[in-house]
Parts: sequence; structure tokens; C-alpha cells
Amino acid sequence: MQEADKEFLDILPTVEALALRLQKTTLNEISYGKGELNIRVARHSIGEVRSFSSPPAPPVEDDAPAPLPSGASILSPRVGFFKSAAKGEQKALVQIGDLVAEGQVVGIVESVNLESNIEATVSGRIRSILLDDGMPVEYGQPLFVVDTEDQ
Amino acid sequence: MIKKVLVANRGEIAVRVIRACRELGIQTVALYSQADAESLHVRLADAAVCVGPPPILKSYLDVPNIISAALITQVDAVHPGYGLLAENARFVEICESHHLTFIGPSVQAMERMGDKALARQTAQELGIPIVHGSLVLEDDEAVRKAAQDIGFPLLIKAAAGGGGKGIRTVQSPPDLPKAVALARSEAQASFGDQRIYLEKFLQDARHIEIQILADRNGRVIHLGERDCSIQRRKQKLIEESPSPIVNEALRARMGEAAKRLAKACGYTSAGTVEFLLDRQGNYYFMEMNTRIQVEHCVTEMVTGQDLVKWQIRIANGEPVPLQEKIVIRGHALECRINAEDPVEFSPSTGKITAYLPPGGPGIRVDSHLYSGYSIEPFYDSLLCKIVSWGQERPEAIARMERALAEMERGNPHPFRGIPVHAPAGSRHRGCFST
Repeated sequence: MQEADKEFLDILPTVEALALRLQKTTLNEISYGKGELNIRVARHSIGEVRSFSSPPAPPVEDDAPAPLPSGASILSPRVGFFKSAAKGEQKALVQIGDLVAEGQVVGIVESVNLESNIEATVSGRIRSILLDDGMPVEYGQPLFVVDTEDQ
Repeated sequence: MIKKVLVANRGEIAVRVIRACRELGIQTVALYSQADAESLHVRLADAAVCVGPPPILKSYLDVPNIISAALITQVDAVHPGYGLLAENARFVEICESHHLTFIGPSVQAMERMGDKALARQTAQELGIPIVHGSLVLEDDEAVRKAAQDIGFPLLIKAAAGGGGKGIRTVQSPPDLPKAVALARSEAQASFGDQRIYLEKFLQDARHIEIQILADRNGRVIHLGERDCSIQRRKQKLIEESPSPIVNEALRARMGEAAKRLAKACGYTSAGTVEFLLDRQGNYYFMEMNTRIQVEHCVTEMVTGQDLVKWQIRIANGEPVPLQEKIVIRGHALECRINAEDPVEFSPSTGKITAYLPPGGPGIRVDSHLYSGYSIEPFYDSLLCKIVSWGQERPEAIARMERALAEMERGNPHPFRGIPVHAPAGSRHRGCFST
């Protein structure tokens, strides 16, 4: 029993690493083999889970792992609806390609009776805006990707 | 009709509510903090919304974020579980102002029973015996006089308290001024309300509570009692139904008193009226809990009624069954398993690397645990409730002991990875035979 436990603890980091990898892809399973060792990590969902933080990822070609996003993300500070423009304004606060400075207001989260500014947490160039105007957002959801080296 | 419910809680009770909703064909939205992203309630719900960072004040108690989560997911009702926002009348008002059905009592009923001093007064006016005590005491002179009248030992209680919190025992007069000052500052810190009152401390009294259900047409029924006398630091550890010392006549009398109180405050939904029962069989009203309770499962086991589903059905306007339809069958026990060091009782945290719950005849396990789950330091230490049912009390006890032993044997080091505390270990075996 103790022997088996030790073996399990030895491979645990590998299993966790595979599970993390799997989470970042749309694959259903991932396996890893070395010598006698063969680990397979598969998705197992209880019921249907849909989280606002994990919209369906784009399809991945072959079995190649999805490219991990580089650059920094600006996350939502509140739960509510994402607004790209200030109240009463037509023009979005920022657009793709804009240079932003840390602390600059780049969007709004509209929630119950209050509006919260989304401030850039890094300086750089806006590479992408991850959701459309008026879409629901949860706390900590990535909203913008910023290229930090491109200042 | 409620079609989609926001479950504004976490842990085992969030899982319990999601299960009830699923059985009723109702969709669920879970809330979670960043520390709970991998929690079972998030996995089981139809959708989940992250509402904040790990600390409770910034997530599970962040009302604007919780209401926003309800609005962006278009739910029509909110179930608060227990603790957190469950007895917060202001939250109920906010839900209503956003056209969300709060699955629980009305603001008025909650306020009337939530203030413990006011609840005592209501009970007294209805002729329900209360423990000898005082009204809310404003100054030290009033406290001194009231203490003289009540006698020692006595309890200092927070008017806004509940769930065993905000209570101090005072043995003799010299300890009183300091204890009152501490109780006031504790009450202010915990409930934002420093008002206190005094109550006589009843020696060897048992904690007996009556479960009630009240519908929106004014029908109130009771579902018998739970005996929650086995506690540690005023927190319940083992509960059972029926109580081994309550007979049918006493149950009927206490049940009627509980119903009278619920009717008087226009109560709806599930609720619990707590009493102390002395050795002579006299009962005294203590407080009413305006929510589903942790130990509701033992009542479900002996009555066959699903209390969480009844909360939802009552919110939908359905009538509760007639009193004569409620039959107590057999005996049930609940044992709480807490993430605590078994000797020091300090909270433990960490990853559960192995978890095998007990099973077999008459055993029910309500828990949010699974193998690989990480226990974070931010939340309540309740991990798991093991509930046993038997035809008679000895069978329920034997099944509980068997289930706890299975848990020990099935998990060579129970819940490998963290120390846990089960109150019914061999040291506590005597607890079963009180």
C-alpha cells in the first residue's frame, strides 16, 4: 500500500501538468508515456458546465496544443455588462492598435446602479478586444490583450 | 414559475440546492470566488459566474456583484443557502427591487425574527415560555440590575446574533462588566449592532428545535423536532430526529408553539424554532432561524419530505401538505465532518488526495468533496455531513458507527492530505447514548 502511494505521489506533478495542459485545449484527452509509465488524462464532465470565463475555444488543428496567448490581459474588476464607450458617448474608449498607459480607462463594466471603470493594468498596444459591447462579464474575466513589448 | 435559480452560496449547501433544482427541472447558476473555481457546486451547476477574489466580503457577500450575476444570467430566483446572505433582510429587499424571487421568508418576517430580542418579545406576547432574561440593555446600570434579577450563571447574547455566535457565559458578578464590554465589541464587529441582552443559563438543558414549513396561503405545519444537544463551542456536531427524550404529547405542544410563532409573524418558507428543554420537560423559546439549516437532512430522512424542494415550491405559491400527512418514521442521526485538527480543533487546509465516502443501507452523504479537491483557508470548515437512518435509534447509531468506520478504513488516513475531525470517534462514543 505504502509502495503504491509513493509511486502515485511521484507521478502526481506529471498528472497535474497534463491536466493543466488539457484544460487549455479543446482536446478530450492527453496521454504521456515513458518506459513503463503511461498516463492518460481525460476530460470528465458531470452534467453540462458552461462558465462565462471559458467560452468555447476556437477549433484546434490536428493534435497540436493551442498556442498560449502571449502579452498581458486586462481583467474585469466587476460582474456586469461590458461597455466599450463611456456613458452617452458613441466612440469606444480604445480600439485595436491603440497605445494605452497603465491606469488609463479602457472600458466600463455596467452593473447594478453603478458603473466601474476598467483601467489598464499594464502599458502597451491593444492587440485584441475579447468581447463585444454589451456582453456579460464575470469578475476576473480577460477583456483586452495588450502587447507589452510594443510600446 | 421559477425556471432558473441563482445559488448564492458555496460548499455542500450549494450542491444540495443544485440537486433539488435539478430534480424539479429548474436550471441553476452557481456563484464562486477565485478560490472556488474547482469546487463541486461550480461543476454541477448549469452555468457559473465568478464574483470576486477569495475573501468572503469581496465575493460571496459582494451584493452588487451577486445581483449583477443574477441579471447577466437572467435567473428569476435566488436561493441563499444558510449563513452568508441567508438572513440578511436588506439583501432580500434588493432582490425584490430587481424582480428576483428570494427563496425564503419575507423581509418583514425575517426582520421580526432576526432581531433576537424582538423575537423573544413576540413569543412572550403569544404566551410561549421564554428563558428568564432581559430586554435589550442600553447601559451598565441596566445590565447590573437585570443580572441581579436573573441570577448567575447567565448568558450575554447579541440582539442581532444567531447560530451560536455572539454568546458569552458569565459565572459570577465580578466578571460581568468586562464580559459585557467584550460582548458589545464582538457584536459590533460580527453583526454591526452592539445591542445585547441577558438570559439565564439553564444547566443541563437540551437544544430541541422544531422544523416548520409555511406556505403563502397561511398554512403552517411542523415536521417534528431535532435534538442538537451535542455541541462544541456552541457549534452543533451531532444532530438527531426524533429526540430520544421528546414524546408525542410534548412534540405536539412544542410543534403548536412553533406554528403559532410562525403564523404571528406571517412567516413563509422553511424555518426552525429553537427551544431549550430542561430536565423537568419544560421548554423555553430561544430563537427562530429564518433559513434552511445545516441539519435539515435528519428531518428529511424521518419525514420523507424534501425541505429544499419545499422552499422552492412554496416560493412558487404551492400549498404545503396537511399536518396529518406528516408522519415521523424511524430515527436519523447526522454527524458533521469538519476540516479541523482532531486534537487542537484548529482549521486545516490542503489538498484531499483520497476520498471514499461511506455508503450502504440507510446512509446519506451530503458533501462537496471529491478526490483532488483543495480546501482553502477562507471558508467554513464543514466538509461533509454523514446522515444515517434506522427503524429504531440503535439501528441508526449502528449504521452511523459502521459508516464512520468505513470512512476510516476506506481512506487509510481519512481524507489523505489534511487532518479532519469527526465528532464520533471512539473518544466520543458516549455521546451516542445520552
